[in-house]
Amino acid sequence: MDLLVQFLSNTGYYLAEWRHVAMIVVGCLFLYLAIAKQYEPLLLLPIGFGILVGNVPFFKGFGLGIYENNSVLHYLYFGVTTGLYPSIVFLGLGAMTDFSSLLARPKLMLLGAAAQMGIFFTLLSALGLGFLPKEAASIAIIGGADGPTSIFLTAKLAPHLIGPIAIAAYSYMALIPIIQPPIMRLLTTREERLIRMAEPRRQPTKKERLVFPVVGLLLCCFLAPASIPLLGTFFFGNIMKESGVVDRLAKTASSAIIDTATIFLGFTVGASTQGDVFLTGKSVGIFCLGAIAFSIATASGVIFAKIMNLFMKEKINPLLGAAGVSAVPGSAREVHLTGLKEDPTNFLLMHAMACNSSGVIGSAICAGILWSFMV
Amino acid sequence: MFSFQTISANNGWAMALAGALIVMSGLSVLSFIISQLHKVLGLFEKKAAAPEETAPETVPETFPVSLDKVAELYAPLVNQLPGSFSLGELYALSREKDYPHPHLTLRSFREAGILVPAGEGQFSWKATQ
Repeated sequence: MDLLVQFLSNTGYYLAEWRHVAMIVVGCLFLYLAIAKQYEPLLLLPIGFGILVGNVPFFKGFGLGIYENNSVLHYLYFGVTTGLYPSIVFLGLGAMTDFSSLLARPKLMLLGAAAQMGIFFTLLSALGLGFLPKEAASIAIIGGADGPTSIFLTAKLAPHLIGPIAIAAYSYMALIPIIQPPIMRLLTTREERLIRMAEPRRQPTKKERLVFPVVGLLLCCFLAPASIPLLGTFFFGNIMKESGVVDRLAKTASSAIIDTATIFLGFTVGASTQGDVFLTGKSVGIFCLGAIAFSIATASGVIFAKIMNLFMKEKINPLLGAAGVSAVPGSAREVHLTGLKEDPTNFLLMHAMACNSSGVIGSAICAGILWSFMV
Repeated sequence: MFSFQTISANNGWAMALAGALIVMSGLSVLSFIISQLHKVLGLFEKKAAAPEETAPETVPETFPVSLDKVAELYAPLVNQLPGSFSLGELYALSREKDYPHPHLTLRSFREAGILVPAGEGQFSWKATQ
């Protein structure tokens, strides 16, 4: 009888608190968004299920929890705390990215740079609200709209905030169709939205696509060496793709490797999001700041495009500024759809992809800059 | 709740300004490099092709006796001309190369059927084996 009582007192049913239940509801919500609504399922499904797993109550000391040494989840979580998984994800991203659009339209790189202003605005806001500098930098990188980058920087600067920051970053990436269009419409006139982009005068050659990852790596990493773990693997993946001599490696990087890293990254980030860490006032602040970061990033890209138009003969459609937000390809898709609503024959997708690609590089550079400021 | 003093105390303004300037300037430079990349690569390609074009062509001191051998020397000149050409054009090229006795050579080509009339004062080159 005592044995039975002891067993029952160690079950999750006995140990459950309201925090566990609340987080399980959050996890179920993520699963619903991923499966039923198909909002970023590659991210939200592993995270959602990870939340469920991480919030099953258990008796501490059994080596079960993600924060307990020698537990399986702890070993898997190693890739998050060390920044390993984000680097591997960037390897796969580089192997999947085609920079032709960007190489054919180099001016649009500036819109990717402009959209990163959301990061620095959020940095100021977070500091003003009382977050510590390292916490503020980790929160600010949400404005880069890049999940792996956010997790990478947070793991280095404020690992105790990985859970809420990752959840906020991925949630807002999934909510781009809701966040961006109103801002785009608010900041542009109908005439501006109807601007047609001229097709590029030339298409980049294979040599240009081959030289770009080397040039990009050297320039960006010399500027911000702290971005080496992200941009190093990113451009490595890209040169594997463009070289044409290691197709097998490029295919593996863009499929099995990135999928494996995504699975473990999402699952362990979700599992790390436990009630006592997530359900706090700080998390609410992080979510609010994340929304501000995304909004300012979108707005700054659009406004910069309008400023560029003051000096350019060939006008840029200001909607493209919103694609400078690094959420590939979600923000490019939203820009394209917003342009189509005004003019069904105005195809902005490839131009938007140029800005999107630039945003990925820009957000990784910002992560390197912030890390070097905080060290 | 929100305090500008905490921003200043943590050097926030400087970090934000410096960070923004660094990322903007870095990507601006990268953008400029990308825009010039095709020109730089084009220069390298021209340099690689140049040695073949500037290789001096040696004109033999004495022309071979065999007309076929002389025709082989004239073949590169003909390749610079369109399919049908006037004798004057071929003559001008041979003078540029300082080939000896171009009049006599072209007459010999006509008589041997290497230069074939194509009508309206134009001629075509019949390749020799």
